[in-house]
Amino acid sequence: MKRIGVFICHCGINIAKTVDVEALTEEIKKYPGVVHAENYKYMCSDPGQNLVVDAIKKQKLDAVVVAACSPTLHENTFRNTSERGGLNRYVCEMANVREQCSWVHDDKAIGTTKAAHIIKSIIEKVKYDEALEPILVDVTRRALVVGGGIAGIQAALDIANAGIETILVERSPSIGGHMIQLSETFPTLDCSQCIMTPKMVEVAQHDKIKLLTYSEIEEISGSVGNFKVKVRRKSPFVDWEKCNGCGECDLACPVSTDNEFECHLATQKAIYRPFPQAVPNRFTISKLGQPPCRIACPAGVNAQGYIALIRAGKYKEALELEREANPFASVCGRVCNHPCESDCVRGEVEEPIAIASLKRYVADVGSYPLEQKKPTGEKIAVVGSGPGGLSCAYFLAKMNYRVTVYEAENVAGGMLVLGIPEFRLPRNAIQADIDYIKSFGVEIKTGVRVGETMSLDDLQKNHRAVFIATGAYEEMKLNIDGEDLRGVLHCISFLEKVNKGEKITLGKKVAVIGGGNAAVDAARVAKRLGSDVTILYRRSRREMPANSWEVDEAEREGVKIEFLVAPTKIIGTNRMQEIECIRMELGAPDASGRRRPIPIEGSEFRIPVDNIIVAISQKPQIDWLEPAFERTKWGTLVVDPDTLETKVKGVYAGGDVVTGPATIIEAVAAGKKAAEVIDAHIRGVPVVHKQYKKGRPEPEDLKRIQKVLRAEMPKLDVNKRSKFDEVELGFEEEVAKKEAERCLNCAICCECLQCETVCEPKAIAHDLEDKIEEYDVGALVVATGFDLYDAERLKEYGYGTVQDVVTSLQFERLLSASGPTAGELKRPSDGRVPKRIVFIQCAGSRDKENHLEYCSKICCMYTAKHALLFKHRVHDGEPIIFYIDVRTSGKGYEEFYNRVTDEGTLYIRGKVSKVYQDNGRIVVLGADTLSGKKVEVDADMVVLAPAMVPTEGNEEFVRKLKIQCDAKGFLTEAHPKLRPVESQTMGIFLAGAAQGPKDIPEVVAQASGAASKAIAILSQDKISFEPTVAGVDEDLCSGCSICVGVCPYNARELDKEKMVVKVTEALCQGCGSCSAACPSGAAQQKNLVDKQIEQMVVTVLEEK
Amino acid sequence: MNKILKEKDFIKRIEEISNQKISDCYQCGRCTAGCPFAEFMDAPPNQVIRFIQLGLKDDVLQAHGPWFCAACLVCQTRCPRGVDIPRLMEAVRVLHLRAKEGLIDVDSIDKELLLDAPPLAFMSAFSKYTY
Amino acid sequence: MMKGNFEPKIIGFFCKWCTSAAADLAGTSRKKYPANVIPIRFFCSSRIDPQHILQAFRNGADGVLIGGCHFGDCHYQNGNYKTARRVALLHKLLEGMGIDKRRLRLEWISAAEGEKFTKVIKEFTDEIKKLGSIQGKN
Repeated sequence: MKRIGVFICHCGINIAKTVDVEALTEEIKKYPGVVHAENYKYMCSDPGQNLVVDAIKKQKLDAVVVAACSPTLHENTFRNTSERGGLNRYVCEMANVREQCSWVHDDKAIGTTKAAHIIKSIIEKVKYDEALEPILVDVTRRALVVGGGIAGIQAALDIANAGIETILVERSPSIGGHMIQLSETFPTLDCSQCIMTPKMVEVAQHDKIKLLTYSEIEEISGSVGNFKVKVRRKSPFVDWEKCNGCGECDLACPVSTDNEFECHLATQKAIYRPFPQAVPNRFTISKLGQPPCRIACPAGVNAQGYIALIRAGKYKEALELEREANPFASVCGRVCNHPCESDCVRGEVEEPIAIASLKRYVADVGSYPLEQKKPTGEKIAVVGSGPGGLSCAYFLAKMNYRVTVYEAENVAGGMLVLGIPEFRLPRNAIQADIDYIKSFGVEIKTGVRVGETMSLDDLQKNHRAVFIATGAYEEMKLNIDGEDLRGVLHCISFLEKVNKGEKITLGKKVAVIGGGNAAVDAARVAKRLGSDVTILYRRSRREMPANSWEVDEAEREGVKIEFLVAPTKIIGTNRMQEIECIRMELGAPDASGRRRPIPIEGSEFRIPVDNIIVAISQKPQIDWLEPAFERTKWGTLVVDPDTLETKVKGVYAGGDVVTGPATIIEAVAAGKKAAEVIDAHIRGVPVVHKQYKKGRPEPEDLKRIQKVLRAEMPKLDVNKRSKFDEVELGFEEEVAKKEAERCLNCAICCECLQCETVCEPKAIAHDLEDKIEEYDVGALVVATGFDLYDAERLKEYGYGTVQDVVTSLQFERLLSASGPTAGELKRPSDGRVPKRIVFIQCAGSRDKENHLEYCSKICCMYTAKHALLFKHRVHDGEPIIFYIDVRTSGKGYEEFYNRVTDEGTLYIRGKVSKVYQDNGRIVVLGADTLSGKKVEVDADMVVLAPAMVPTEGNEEFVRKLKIQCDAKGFLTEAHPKLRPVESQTMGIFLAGAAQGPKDIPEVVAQASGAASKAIAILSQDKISFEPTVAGVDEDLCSGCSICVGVCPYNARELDKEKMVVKVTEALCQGCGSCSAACPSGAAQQKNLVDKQIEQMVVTVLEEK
Repeated sequence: MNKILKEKDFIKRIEEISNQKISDCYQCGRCTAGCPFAEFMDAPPNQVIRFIQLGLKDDVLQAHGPWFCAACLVCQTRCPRGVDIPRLMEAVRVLHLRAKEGLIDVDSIDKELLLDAPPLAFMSAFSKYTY
Repeated sequence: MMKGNFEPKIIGFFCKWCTSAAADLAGTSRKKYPANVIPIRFFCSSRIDPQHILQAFRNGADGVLIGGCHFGDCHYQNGNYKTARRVALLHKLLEGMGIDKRRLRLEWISAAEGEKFTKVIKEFTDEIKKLGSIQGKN
């Protein structure tokens, strides 16, 4: 039971006149719990306070009630007094018997009664008050500023100059924000860069500022004094420690992309520096990932890369780049089935790039001397010299392995040489690629059939590893009657004979059975040998596995195709004469996804033919391998899909022998993968499989691209195709370059590595990854800035359709000496100097109905500035400004505006309805409300003043920090009048345009204001919070979490393990919402618990 | 000076008929700027609205503008305050019509014209031409 | 209980940032109003649990007056919205309990509105006088 002392103040006659203090004192003395009661004329005076101190000590008081004026005046005073007496300050309460009693009642009896009730209620409260200690929190003496525009820069400098370590985080590669993009600033017409760059340099050189550009806040936790911030340092793919900003890389890079700093009026290279005075002055690479073409290619050939090099005329480098992933440049440039082209994003505009043909161009255009290398490493054996085997050998040899390729035939090349006709793939093209492979020290032994001439065991004894790539060349049979009659030919052996130059005689009519590339090749060969050829295929055209362009060529050459037909019998004696076929129809899809052909009963018919060529598929010939080598039910070799190793250790396999008949590029990919795995296994290191992220432009960006048709491959005239001359003739240089121009640079940087070759300090680092850094800070300043409203949404103003309609920021760049036109005012469309420019204010602002309701504040002034600068550059220029109001509310602004109108700008009051292009003129439809006339103006150029909006991504960012922004996305201040630089979260301050549209002097002032607030927190060792916060009685808490949602400060959260709510006291502001919401009474606000309130209520209502 | 804001009932009437708040208009002039017939009007759309705002009943009723309105809706689409100007014009026309000023007398229309002209012309005329 | 001499007992739950400050202002301006309302000071009107209001009625309060900040002005962001919702629901419940809902009044009085505070006290006191004692006598 507390020993309570009550002190009643007369306050002169203020209280004593209408409250009988003596009688009251006597009454209170008798009140349960009160051990001491006295009254005094002026309790707040020194003697008055001393009474309290003495009483506490002498009477050993546990609690004090001072009945006097409003606690807003003297609560602190008497709490300090109580502390001096040795009492905890929170057990001292005031009862307001002056403002809320003695001053508002006349009747002394009534006044005294009410005063008694009030005092007694406070006595009841103080009975249950706990002795509390202010909540003290250590302060981490470090600040973090988010945003490197003028607001962030100023705030960082102010805090750093106070001797406090400051981290400045900026998401683009350089600080400067939008201010650095401006040409001159109003009203002084200072050159923006001239006034800003000294500050930027000061930031970079300040010993108390840690500058983190190209970085973003990833995560933030904690509260004022103790924030933990995770910052993502994005990878610029350049080592900034080494980069010296020389710019050689910029000159060497063949990829151009949109330049955001120049507001899309110029391009920049994939490796770029945002502007010459960038801080830090380093280069950054824009890389979105890997382009779709590279991801689609099984071998990962860098198509975007070599196409970029073709654009730059660097054909040797292009060929080298291509061959890093695939040695078969000449071959694949001609006969690859190019899955890259199917995924080429240009195909979404009109047609994909002719990637394969461009590859052929670089393979053909130059012949470069081959340096013969001699590897010295371990010996590896490869069985089979097709594309799979030779690729594996190539990649292993590049890693210094000594590879021997064992080929059963007399000539190397596998299916390339044996299965593909010369008019598609000339022998010298194959030889060029094989010679290249051999130059790496690969030895090819032809005429050696492993399994006969030598055994696999022999190979394993002499080589560290073996790669089997024997392909799939054994023909599948039709298994119908008459297949062994003379005149029945099988496709691969047919093509082989022709390729070897052996003589073959075919009859007049030839039928080819099958629909794959081999069938089409065989058909075209047969045609060249003089026969009348028909392909019989059992499904329809859509299901034909052959490359569609090959099928088209075959038809152009006169080959006929009959669909939905299958042979049932071959008829003849000794020699075939007829073939019986049955018609098919398509049923449900089979395992390959293609519709299954079903014979139509009773539809048999016969065709007289002299020869048939069966081309229905092939399978591997692996009988020579021991049973230890597991086979699939289709007769292919089983391997581990990740390592390509067979069931026998040290023996690997890939290509058609594993997959069944597939494509060349898949065989190349398998060979490459096997080489990497073999190398990893030999060195005993883990196998690394690269994961690629796809980078490509957004579909909306494709709409602006002008359509250009794909380059056409010149072909040999159809009538001249009787011999086996190559049908496709290849591109000319201008055609190849023009085709390469169509490439959209999907991933932007294509890793062509030209930058690497010219970088002297070796700063290029394509493998550099993002990293996360953690920082402890005590306070934050958010200065994330603004963007301009998307002018394309102002459709009637023609932005995006009329080229000479630009935004104000674009106009700044046009005026800027370091801009895309070197400061000469030129129209974007034709470079002419504009004579009449129409400026449209309020483009998007003050438009509640269609765009944004608010006024963007700066546009009236900068438009006036633009008009003036225009007049300065073009002396006979005519600026016309359409306005609704002219707002000139700063120092020197009205004077500036007068200067602008004096020097010859015409202001027309009326909001423009529409801007459009008509026969080369730009027409502006406006009005002059002052004279009541509609106005039509012909302009050379139109400049829009779009609304100021918060930066892109601000809303998600704000959620991370748990601060608020308003409905338009601007940061919400704690109080619009009195606390404009504080957010609603303690310790997080706001500065600049992120909080609302404003001009540079206001931004700078606000930044300094925010900095001072941050300094106030950071210059203390500890900060203290009022302890009248809400707690949690864990015994009563059921974890219902109602209080969590009710708290405006996110101070409460559910501990999922214990199923009770926990409070972060430093965040709790003591409103008590949770205490009212809690159904069980577990949440109670300290020193204002339910029990206290109940007691107060009961006491107040007691009869006197 | 003297006429302004005397005719508050008139303003209320227009607001009632058109279901628009006349104070929404902040006189930017965009309606006039985009109106295809503004050049033919004595007082263009924004001025007519200004007259209504100031309660200048006579100026409103004497204006030709509301009769030239083709209800093309360009003004309403582009108005930054969402004012439905065609409805305001219609409200002015309705006031005229309700006053039954000079309605067209069908019997006095030229007989040739009656036969030649399309019915639509008569419908618009009955709606619009009351003077 | 003599007719016409009924002096209601009213409790005022006032938030310290707005209504209580307005009461202080009324005092500083020496306004005069009846003494029937005894104030109890809270940090925020959202601390007021409906059970406190019901306790007041149960203990004989003839009226309960709640004073908070205008919407948008709450020192703790949105406490007054919570209070508004709670009182709205409580009003519905009071009828069911047989308590005239006019006995519970919610007012938004800013720290500058000393005049309004005075007026509300007078009006509410009058109204409760007319409604009579909550215990049904008088």
